Amino acid sequence: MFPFLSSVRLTFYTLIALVVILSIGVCLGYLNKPALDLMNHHPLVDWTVLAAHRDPLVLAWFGLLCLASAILLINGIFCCAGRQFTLARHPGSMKHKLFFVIHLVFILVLTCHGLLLVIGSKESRISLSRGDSHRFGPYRIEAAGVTFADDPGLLALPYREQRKMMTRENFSLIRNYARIRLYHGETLVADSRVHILAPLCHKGLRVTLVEFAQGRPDQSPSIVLTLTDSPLNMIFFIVYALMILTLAGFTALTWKAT
Amino acid sequence: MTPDTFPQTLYTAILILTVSEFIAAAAGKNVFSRPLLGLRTLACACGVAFVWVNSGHPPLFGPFEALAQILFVSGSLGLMFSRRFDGPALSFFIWHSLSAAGIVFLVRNQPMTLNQDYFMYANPWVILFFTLRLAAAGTFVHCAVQYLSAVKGNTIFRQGGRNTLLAGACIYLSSEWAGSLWALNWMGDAWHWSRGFFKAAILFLLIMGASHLPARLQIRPVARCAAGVLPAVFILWMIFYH
Repeated sequence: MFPFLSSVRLTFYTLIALVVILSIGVCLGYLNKPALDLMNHHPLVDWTVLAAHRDPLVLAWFGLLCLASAILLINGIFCCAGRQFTLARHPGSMKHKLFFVIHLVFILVLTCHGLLLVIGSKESRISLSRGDSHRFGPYRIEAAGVTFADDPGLLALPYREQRKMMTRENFSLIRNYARIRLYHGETLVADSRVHILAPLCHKGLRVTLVEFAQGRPDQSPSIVLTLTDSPLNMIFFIVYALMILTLAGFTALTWKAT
Repeated sequence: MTPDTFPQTLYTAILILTVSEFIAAAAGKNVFSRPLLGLRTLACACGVAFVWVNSGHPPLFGPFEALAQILFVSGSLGLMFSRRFDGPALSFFIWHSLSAAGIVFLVRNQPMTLNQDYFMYANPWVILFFTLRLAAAGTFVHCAVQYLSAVKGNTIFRQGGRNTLLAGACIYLSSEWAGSLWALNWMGDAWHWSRGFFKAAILFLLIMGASHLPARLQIRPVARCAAGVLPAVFILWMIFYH
């Protein structure tokens, strides 16, 4: 059993299976985009309950994806624990040590990726005007102010026109922002500006400004937020970067002159 | 020539140089192939510089910007790789010119212009995501050329293909890392259930597949070649038809 679970053959055929499953996902993206959008707007645990009634086929596809990913993870663990670890223990074999570390870090990345999907909470497309607030778990998010320094007429344009008009000259990431106050219970824990591509981060919580939208008549524009709470984001990006650096080191070390 | 007409003029120049390179290689005139590859690469470098000067950022996407960056990177790698050839390496130059011709043909009916500006391009992670993706595509194209040249058993190309595949993987993963950071800062999540993210994952799996061939496929040159060429084909499809 151990040789089979640690074999390159299992790796290869699992990778093929994942390519096929994700290709089906691409087709789903063309044929049933709302079903995928639902996955993005709800935490996965909540989505599975929704999908069981609304999109059972998408749920089945997701189950296959998880199964194939789990097989790849198990295969990676057995590979690492077997021959790779034995070779890495030999003194002086930097190549084998790096080879072992790459696979170990890949296992960490895959694990983090999987945990990120299930751990934490998320609420998306929350529309707030100045003075509005919204509860998210133990937090209350208040839009204390919305500053839109550029032409608000941009926000009234249809999507395609807006995409053409919102150039770096017409829309500034710096000049346009929302002033967000974050309360934990009744205690103010953060009070800062949030720009597009510069969210407010407090422990694992992220208050992300997705876009500005037309406000109520005679009022300043409103903001659309996504709220996420996950302790794993930083860890994921660190291990991901470590994987790239280790791979680069391995490539350099084993670069045979041609 | 004005900035509006320069991209189309450059496209025509790249097309002519690519065809000339192929004719020289196919006719066995290896002494002309490398200089023509050099001229083509220089033309693409002019295209990359044109994008930088006029838009304030490196090439990102779109037919003209992608063509210039991808062929510049693959051409530069081809020049570096071919400087050590002791004897004729016709198959290498034939495959290189054919791959370039394929890319030039892909964009033949598309407008040769700079992309429209967008406020997101003020963010460095956005720039890195797009430009590193094009650099990775150029690297995978060169990798594909090496694997194709290795089908007849030349180990110099096989080893070169393996090196380039791993280097391309590092560049591609760096692009994806920057892209994930962009997604996290813009949408609140590093992963998005969408066609674009699935395609990006498929490409990474294809690279892994090429690096994890079972023994009975490893010994077959055609199987190795197919595995080494697939990442290039897929990333070009992603970039030009996404």
